[in-house]
Amino acid sequence: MYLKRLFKHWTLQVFTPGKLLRLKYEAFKELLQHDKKSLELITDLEEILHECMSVDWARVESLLRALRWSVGSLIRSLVAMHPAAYWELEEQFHRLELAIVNAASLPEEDCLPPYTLTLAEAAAAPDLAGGKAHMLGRMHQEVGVPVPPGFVVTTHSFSLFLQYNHLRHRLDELLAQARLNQSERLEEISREMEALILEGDLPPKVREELTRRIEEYQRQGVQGPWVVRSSAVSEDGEVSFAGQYTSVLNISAPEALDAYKRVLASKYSPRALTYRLRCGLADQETPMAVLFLEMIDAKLSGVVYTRESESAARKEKCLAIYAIPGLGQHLVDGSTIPEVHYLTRETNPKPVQSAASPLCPLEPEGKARICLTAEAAVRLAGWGMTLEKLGGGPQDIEWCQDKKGELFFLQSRPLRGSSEFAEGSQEQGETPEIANPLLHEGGVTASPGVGMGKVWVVRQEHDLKGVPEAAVLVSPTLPPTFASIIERLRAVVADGGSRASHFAAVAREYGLPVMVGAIEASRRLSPGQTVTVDANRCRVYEGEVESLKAQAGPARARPEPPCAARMRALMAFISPLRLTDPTSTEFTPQQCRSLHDVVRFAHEKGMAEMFSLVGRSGRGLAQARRLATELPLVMYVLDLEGAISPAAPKGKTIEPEYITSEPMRACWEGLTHPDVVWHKGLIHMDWEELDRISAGLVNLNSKALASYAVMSSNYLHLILRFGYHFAVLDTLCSEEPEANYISFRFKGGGGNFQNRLWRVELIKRILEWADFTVKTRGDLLDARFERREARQILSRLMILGILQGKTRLLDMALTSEDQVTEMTDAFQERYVGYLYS
Amino acid sequence: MADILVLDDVLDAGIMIKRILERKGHRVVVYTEEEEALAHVRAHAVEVAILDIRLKRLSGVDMLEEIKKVSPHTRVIMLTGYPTLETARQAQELGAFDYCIKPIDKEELEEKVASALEAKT
Repeated sequence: MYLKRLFKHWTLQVFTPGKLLRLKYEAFKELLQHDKKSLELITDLEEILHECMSVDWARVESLLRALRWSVGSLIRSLVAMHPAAYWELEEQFHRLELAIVNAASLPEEDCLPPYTLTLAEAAAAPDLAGGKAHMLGRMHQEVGVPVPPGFVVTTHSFSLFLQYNHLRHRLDELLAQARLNQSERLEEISREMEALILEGDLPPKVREELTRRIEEYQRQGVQGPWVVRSSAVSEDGEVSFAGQYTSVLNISAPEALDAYKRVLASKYSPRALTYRLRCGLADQETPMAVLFLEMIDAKLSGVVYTRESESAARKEKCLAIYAIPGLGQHLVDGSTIPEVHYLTRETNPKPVQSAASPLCPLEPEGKARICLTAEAAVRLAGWGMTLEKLGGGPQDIEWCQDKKGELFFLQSRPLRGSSEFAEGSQEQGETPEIANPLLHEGGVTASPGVGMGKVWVVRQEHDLKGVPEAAVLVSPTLPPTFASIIERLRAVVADGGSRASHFAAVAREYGLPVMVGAIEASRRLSPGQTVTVDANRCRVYEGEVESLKAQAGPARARPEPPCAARMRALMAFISPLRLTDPTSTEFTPQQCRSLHDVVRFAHEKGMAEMFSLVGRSGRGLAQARRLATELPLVMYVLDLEGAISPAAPKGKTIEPEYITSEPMRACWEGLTHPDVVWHKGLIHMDWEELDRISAGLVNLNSKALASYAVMSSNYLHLILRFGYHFAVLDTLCSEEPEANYISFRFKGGGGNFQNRLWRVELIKRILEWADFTVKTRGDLLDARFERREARQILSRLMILGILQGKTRLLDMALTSEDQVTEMTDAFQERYVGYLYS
Repeated sequence: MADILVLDDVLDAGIMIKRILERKGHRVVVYTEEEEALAHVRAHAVEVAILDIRLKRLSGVDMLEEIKKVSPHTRVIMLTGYPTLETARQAQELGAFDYCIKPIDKEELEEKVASALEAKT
């Protein structure tokens, strides 16, 4: 392959120099395309890094594949221009690729048995059983708390299911399009992923194992029905995933296979997907096991928080038990208000206080009704403290009591936000003097903090689409679906719900202030009204309370998500640009430490190849010549065809008047416009000085630091370099408007980052005014102007020339946004005539 | 206005392409099943076909070959998220008009389709 390529090159060089030039030019054009695409992809990846991952990891992988392909193609184009010259670059690229693949790799999706486990086995196998089942297994095995009979379908079953149905790449393709801030689109993607899972077939091995487990239990007298719940890896661990996945209740044996798939599908529900993206976890990092437990016919259900404040004002900590009649679903979905029991945090806990649910009907004699007996409360609390020891910290425990009075534990996970709540409560004994009218007082702190914003009242749980940015959400209940819009919220006030609601757990993780049990709040607060919610003291004030402003603000800084660390490691091989000086001895393939370096190197060499004197006699390529100019600007030009007048005298330099390339003439006219001041003496002096102190390492006349123009009568590819400023212009200006375009890219500059951003903003505004389509990302600017008549193309090239000349040193001078506006206006006023000339 | 066929095993991916190209005034049909897509090519004149490389049963390269047999004038654009030199070379040998990499942006897609249509006339 390699020899063949080389042979082809030599043959052509000897016999058909004209054809070689054409091939080289074709390869160069391809190289420019790949260069452009590679830089765009690098910028896309940088954007993800700086935005702290609001996309799925599948997006990163998809961009990486595209980038590796583009850079590979870029190198292939360069090799096509000069076979055999760049094998070291190819080798270096392969080394970098390997490093990138390693840094980006996720845990393998393991499809080997076991496909199911008993709870006892789950105690020793967290990766197979997932968080919830693993803890339940430990609760049963290690401390002997009562749990319902059940078993786990492992994470490996899930992986096998994906493999069996060829779903991984399809899920990845959809996941790659998910964005946290596009909730409607996210929902569409979610629906298709859920459908993919539901339409999938269970692998025979999983089907057999699952059926066998259920039959075994039937033989032991456990007839079901079953509760089928998610038990994902990472669930109930560092992040809670509280209420984000589906549990299905009342499942008979024949429905079990279907219920299994429904729980798997909930991994891709909009709610769970949003939550996972926000946590920065990859799909492969949260493989899902599924827990089958016999369903307890519950008289009472509830939650134990082992470390809780009875009220914000009280400092000593209690253990709290929340209880409601029947199934626990209504407690955790925030649609009811439970009774609460406080007990001491001791090995033998003692009751402190109990409060009936305000929703519960009174006893005939007018006393509030309490459902959980004191004896059962003490037993629950005792076990709660045991589980706190087992879990190594305060726990959030789900329990239920059957009709015979037996207690069962269904899950236990770390209690989030309990320490923050404790700290918050200590500094708030006194209520500060606040002049704003008090709109509401009373309720329970579900998640501490202060939030300010406009009231948005939600009546329907699913009617969340219109919720605006920075809203204070006011609602009769506290459903877990609120988690999907948590970024838009400043505070939540709910008439119902409790601290034990799933959304409260998510809000505490996120640092969003939430008040619950704020009875009548949804009637008292009017939509659109600006309010301050003090969730610590359970008060809502009209307007923005000055004295509380210091406490309000966006959700607190979150711990770094796992994807961010991986992304940073990965980007070290992609983003940093070290090869900036083509004259340096370091400008070699071996010194390419990132793909950005590789792209930079290949572009520079591609240009050099175009300018290289293939055949020093000038055979094949016309010789590049230096443009003769008074300006302190070193520019070499290369004529592909018809760009220089035949009348031009031969020699190493060429006078600008002999240039016949129309786009080049227009651009040059702009650069040399009388309005553009070049400070000749000054710049010359500086460069000479630089030259002197750097001991000749930087040579003003060095080709490597010069500007280049590759041109034909109607085409121009121009690289402009003044100092740190680097711009690339690519344009075609023919008789067919449909084919015409200007593509302009600008990056970098000296000065600090903010100054550079202002300059980019200035260029953007002016180019938009001149009808360019402009995209900016950081200090990179991309502008396009296309499908226009030649005279419009030429007028824009002239404006670009003037703009380049005028703004080349502005990165040092621009110091404010007002200045940008002022200069934009002045520019437009002065040059508006050129636009329509 | 042209008749365009899109074949992608992920429905949503096909629908995104359809939305973009319909805004340009083209008639676009989307399939996720290879046989149905092939039946469409047999029954209708399709000017441009956009094929994903990973499909449900066949590979996109096989589909390219089938389409070229049935309708040699159809310009085929291969679109893949998993580019390899092997598939790129095969696609070229089988007469694919272009080999594009996902993610593809709106402008790039419009441009590729426009040039495929120009090349046809």
